[in-house]
Amino acid sequence: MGERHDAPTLEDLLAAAVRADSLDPGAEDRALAAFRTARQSGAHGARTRWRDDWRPRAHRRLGRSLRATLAALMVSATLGGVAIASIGSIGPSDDGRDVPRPSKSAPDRTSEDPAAGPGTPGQSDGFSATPSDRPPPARDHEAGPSGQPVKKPGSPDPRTGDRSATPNQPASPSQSATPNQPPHSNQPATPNQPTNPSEPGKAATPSENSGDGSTKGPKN
Amino acid sequence: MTRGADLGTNSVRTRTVLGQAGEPRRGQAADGELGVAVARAQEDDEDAFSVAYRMVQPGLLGYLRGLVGDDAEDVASDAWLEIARDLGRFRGDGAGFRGWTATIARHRALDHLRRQKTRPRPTVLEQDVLGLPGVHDTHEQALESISTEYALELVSRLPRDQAEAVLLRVVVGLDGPAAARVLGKRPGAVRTAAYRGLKTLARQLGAEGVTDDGPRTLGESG
Repeated sequence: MGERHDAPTLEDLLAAAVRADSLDPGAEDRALAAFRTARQSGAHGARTRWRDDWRPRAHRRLGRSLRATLAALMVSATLGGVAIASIGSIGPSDDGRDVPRPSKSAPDRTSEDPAAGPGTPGQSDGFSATPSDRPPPARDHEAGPSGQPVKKPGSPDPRTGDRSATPNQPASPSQSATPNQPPHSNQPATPNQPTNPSEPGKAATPSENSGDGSTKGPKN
Repeated sequence: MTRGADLGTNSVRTRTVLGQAGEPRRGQAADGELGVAVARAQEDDEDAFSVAYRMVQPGLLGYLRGLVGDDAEDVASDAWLEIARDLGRFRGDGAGFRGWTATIARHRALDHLRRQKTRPRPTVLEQDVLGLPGVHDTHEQALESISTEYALELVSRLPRDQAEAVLLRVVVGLDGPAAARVLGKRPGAVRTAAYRGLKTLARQLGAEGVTDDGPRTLGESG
C-alpha cells in the first residue's frame, strides 16, 4: 500500500495495522438478525434525534439561517408596514400637536383618540416620539417607527423603500455569523451523550463528502 | 502550532492528514458508496445493510480494539444491535454514518469499561512486542509495516484522548469535525490530541532500532 509514496505514511501503517482485516461471519449474521428484527418491528420509522442527524453541516446551517432570515423578514415587514401605515395618518397640517403615531397593530391606532396626549398606550411602544422628543415640527419631517424621518404622502419615499430593503440586511450578518458558531449554542435539544456535558458539533466544512445519504424530511 | 510536521530525515513520515482540509485522505469515493448502501438499508434492503456493515466494521473494530482491547468483538456486537435498531433514525451520508456508528460504539465501549471498572489492555506484553518481527526498519529502508499487536500496544499507551483522536481520524477515517463530535470535544482540542499522538507514535516507531540521521524538526508549539 501507499505505492505512490516513497514509503507509507504513519497513518497508512496504523490504519492497515489496526483495522480488522478479516471479519467474523457470525458477527455479521448477528447484525443482520438485529436488522431484520428492527425492520419487522417497524423501528425504522422512528424519528431522528439530534444525535442521529449527521447530515453535512451545510444542510443544517441552511436550516438555521433560513429561520433567522424569516424572522428578520417578519420583523422588518412589521416595521415597514407600520411605516407605510403612518403615511396616511400624518396629515399636512401637523404642528407641535401629537398625531396618531404608528403602533404595532393598526387597531390600537384607530381606537386611539387622535388628540390624546403623549401618554396613550399606542404611542409609548417605543416606535413613537413624544412631542418633546420630536424634532422641530417641520412639515416634511416626522419621526417614523425607526426614528428616521419619513416623507409625506405624494412624495417619493425612498426611506420606506429603504426599509423594505432593510430585511435583507439583518439576514446577512446572521448568515455569515452562524456557520462559525459552535452548533451547540443553536441546538435546542439537550445533549444525549452521557459522557459529554456539552454538545459538540461539526465545524464549518462545506466541502464535506457529497451527500448520498437519505434526507427524508426534516428532523424532528 | 505546526501541524503535520515532517520528522526530519527519520524514516517515518507523518503526513498532513490533520492539515487544513481536515478531510481523511482516503475513502471519499468509498464514503459515497457507503452512503448509498445506508440509504438502501434504510429502505429495508438487507444486502445493502451487509455492504454497509462490511465497510464500517473494520474501522469500528479497530477503534474498539484501541479502547477495550480483546473485548472489541463483544462490544462491537452490542453496538451493531443498536445501530441496526436505530438505523431508521439516522440522517446523513456515508461519512456521517461512520461518525454515527463510531459514537454508538464508543458509548457501548464506555459502558463496558464502567462495568469492568478497569481498562483492559491488549494482551501483548512489552517484551513480546519488542520481539515481534512486524516492524521493518533499517537505515535505508522506510518503515513498511507494523504488526497489529504492536500498533495497538503503542496506541494503548498514549493518553486516552490522544489514542481516541488518532483512532478516529486514522482508523475509522473521520474528519476533524466528526471526530470532535464523537468525542464531545472542541475540534481544536481533538486536532491537537491527534497531532500529539501521531507524533509520539512516529517517534516511537522511528526510534526502533535506528539511529537518527539528523535532528527532527518537531517545532510544535501547541
